[in-house]
Amino acid sequence: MQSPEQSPERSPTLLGLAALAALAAGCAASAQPAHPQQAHPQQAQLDRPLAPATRTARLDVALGQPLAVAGQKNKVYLKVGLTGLALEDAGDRPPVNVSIVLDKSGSMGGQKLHQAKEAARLAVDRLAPSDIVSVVAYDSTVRVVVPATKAMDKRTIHHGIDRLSAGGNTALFAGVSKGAEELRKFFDRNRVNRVVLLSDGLANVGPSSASELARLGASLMREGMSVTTLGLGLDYNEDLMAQLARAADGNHAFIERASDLARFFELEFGTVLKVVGRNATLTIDCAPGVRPVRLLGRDGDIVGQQVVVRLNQLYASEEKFALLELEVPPGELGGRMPVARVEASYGNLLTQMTDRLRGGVDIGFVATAAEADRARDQSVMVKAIELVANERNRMALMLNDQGRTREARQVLQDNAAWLDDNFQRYKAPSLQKLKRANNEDASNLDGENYRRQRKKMRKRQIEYDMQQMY
Amino acid sequence: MRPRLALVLAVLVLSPLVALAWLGVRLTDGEDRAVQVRFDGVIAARLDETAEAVKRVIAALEGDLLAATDDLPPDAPALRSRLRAERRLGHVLVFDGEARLSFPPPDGPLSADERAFLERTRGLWENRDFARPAAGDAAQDGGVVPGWYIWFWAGGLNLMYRRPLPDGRTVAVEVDRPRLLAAVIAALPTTERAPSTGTERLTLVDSSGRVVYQWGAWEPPAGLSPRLERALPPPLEAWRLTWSGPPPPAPSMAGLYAGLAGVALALLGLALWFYRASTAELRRAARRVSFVNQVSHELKTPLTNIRMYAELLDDALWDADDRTRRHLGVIVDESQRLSRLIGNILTFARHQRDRLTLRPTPHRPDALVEGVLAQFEPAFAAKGITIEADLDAEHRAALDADAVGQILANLLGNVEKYAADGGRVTVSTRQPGDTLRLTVADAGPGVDKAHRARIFEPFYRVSDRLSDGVAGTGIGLGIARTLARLHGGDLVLEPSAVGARFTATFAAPRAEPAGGAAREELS
Repeated sequence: MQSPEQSPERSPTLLGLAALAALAAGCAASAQPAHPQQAHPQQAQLDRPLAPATRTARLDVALGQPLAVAGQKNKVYLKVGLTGLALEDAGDRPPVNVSIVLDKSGSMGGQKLHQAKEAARLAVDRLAPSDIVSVVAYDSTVRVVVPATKAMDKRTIHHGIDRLSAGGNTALFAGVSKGAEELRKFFDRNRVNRVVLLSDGLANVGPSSASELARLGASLMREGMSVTTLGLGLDYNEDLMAQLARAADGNHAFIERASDLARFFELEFGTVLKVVGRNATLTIDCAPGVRPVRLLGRDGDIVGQQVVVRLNQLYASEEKFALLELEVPPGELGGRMPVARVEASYGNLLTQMTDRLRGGVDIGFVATAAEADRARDQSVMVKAIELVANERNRMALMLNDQGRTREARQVLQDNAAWLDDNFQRYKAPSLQKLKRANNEDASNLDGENYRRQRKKMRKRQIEYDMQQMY
Repeated sequence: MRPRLALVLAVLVLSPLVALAWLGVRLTDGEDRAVQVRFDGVIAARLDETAEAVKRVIAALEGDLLAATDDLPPDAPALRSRLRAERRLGHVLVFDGEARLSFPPPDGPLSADERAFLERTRGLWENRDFARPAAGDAAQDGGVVPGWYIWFWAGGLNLMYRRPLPDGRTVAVEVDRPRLLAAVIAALPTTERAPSTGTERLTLVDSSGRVVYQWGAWEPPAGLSPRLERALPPPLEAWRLTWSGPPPPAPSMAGLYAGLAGVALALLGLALWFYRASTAELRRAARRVSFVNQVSHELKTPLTNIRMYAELLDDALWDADDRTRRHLGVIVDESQRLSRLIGNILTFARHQRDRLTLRPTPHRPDALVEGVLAQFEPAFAAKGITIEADLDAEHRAALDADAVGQILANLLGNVEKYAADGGRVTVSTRQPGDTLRLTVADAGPGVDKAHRARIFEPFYRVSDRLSDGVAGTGIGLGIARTLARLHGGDLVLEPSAVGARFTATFAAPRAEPAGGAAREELS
């Protein structure tokens, strides 16, 4: 994530830094209502170095539109982010318990399996002796190649990986289930418990639908495990793999060439080794009169005025956030109105405590739209735009799947144009990147190209929705 | 003779072999069945064990659900946060004491997720009996007791665990199918690297016949139905565990085959030995026959000379004294008898070598018969046997003179030997059409019933008081019958009141009356 561009029209007079810093410190004292916020997270961090004694995540609550036009209903975006604390040194990280689940079905034969084995070996090499690793391979049936063990005797683990050979069908559900079972052997809530699944084909033994795998993922996540899905080549079911990763709070990647496997394992293990929090949950209570309309990107429960969103795992120095669209009732000119109170809780893997952070946000009312627009929080708006664009991208994919390619292309082109407008306004490079991606999508909606592009789209969608690191 | 022996020996060898093989196959079959039964027993135990493991998973799940629902908070917000925090629970339906749904509140604010859940379980919670609390004896009045509730929705089995709560409410917890599957799969074995697992494939199949999970490295060929199946314990009784694998190795037939081969070899050896022994006997007999044959040949020429000169002498000494003439008669008779004997032996030998052939030429049958009778006259006269000739075969016909003569001589010889006491012999000829019938009837003791069938066999001699001390080779009648048959007729012993009555028949096509006779006279 890059720091937002300085917007020239930002009002320098309204600085709510004190409140933000208090939130960042995460102490219970920050419960006082926040003042009009021109959130500047990075700047706040620079201004006030993190208190060394408090090893907690940072909660940021900000509105995309801190000022609204008085006397009318306003649609605003609320962003609630949790940033995992920075790891001071690598040895500091929480221990991991990871199960590598490899597809060794017939289609993996040759170079693919060879590269996968090499990648798995390299990944194992990154683990510390106190970490736990297991390797499960599946085709029509499942074999536990390396039962869960401390990553001390790496030669034995390598040896187990080396003996794999390809052949058979794809019992993906069973493979993940058995990978999870290996995690359970040394299950500890204070470890990072993750299944890393590699597959290059369609699941065809056992439950094989995207929704069944997603429900399995959700069930594993409730148990405290996450599942990362690495899709290799052009033949895997990207819906299944993306939904599984999404439900189980893992990463999802599209790896077109087997030669890139090592890099992706490297990336994945990089994120695994950066997990600092688990079970992060945001509870957002909207003020009376404020109506939660919908969540962008993430799923959550909206019941009446209360919105509950699970962010699940937190990564060191990485922000995970929920973006909520709200309808704010008409306010008086010059007046202020509380919008929402937020409580965040998560299991801190470093202190092994459950941390609770609280925050809130209110909104001010001005006379004109121009005034309100000038006060917009660029970083929140950019994120909101990304997620809205993401949603449209998903819609285009659905249309194209239904054979309505012309409409799909139109949606994507409109999306790109809209992103371009917003890029002109906010100057955020991420918007330009997304615009280009949508244009690329628009021109690859047919035939063989779509097979590849669809995987790219699914990957991008989950990446933006869930703030994935790669 | 030889092919028959070979056949007998083959039967002797093969029948015990076949019997042994049959027995062996029966035994192996029985053994095989026993192996199959034992094998099935082992598989059944495996399946039972696996079903037991699944049962434990379900029991553990039940325990979890019971523990997690013990103190459910009363109001919706608290319930929601409990459900969010409680990893053992998924969606729940909570009913108040009157079996009305209280959570998720059907008319209160709902999350999208809750709304979808209510929608798909509408059939359950709208039915008041679904959560009717038990009054008194629960089992009797059909109220809710802790247990599983199964319904089919979205193409598969769905499970709810229902229980009454201590505070009078009833809760039904939805157990997500994939979650249950994952828990069951976690408890089941994997395919390990050991080669021994290459001999089986166990499969868990759900209610719609889909494979849920399988293990074992053996890949069953398409279309193979499993060897054994087991239903899972409730509430998964619609699921099945199946075992497939190659059939157990059949009991080794090597021992049986080796035994059979051994017995066959021994029998073959024995048969060969018998065959060689018996053919050696035959070879010896053949050598004997050939020796006698050669000797007879050697004897034939001098004997012919003796006969010729004796007859010449008989003619020359027509006026010699009685004593001399009697002595000469004896010489002539005995040389004729010897000549017949040698003739029989040679005929027999030829027959043995299948080289006996006849050469019929036109003859007047009665002339042939008279010639033979003339030969026997002196001997018969000496023994007091009168010959009554009743000849009526005047027409010339194709006959082998030697054969007819030999037959008649053999018959008359027998009369001389065995029926001299009868004192007479009747020889009659008849010539109906192209056959010649020749009958020799004596007044002797006749042939005992017991021997009638066998008197024509070579070397068979009726041995009784009467024939004891009478010399003979035992081939005369056999030769006679053989010759008669070769001549298109037969020789039979006919029943008669007294003595023995032999009738010989011959195929004797008549020759042209005139010309033929002239030629005969000339030759």
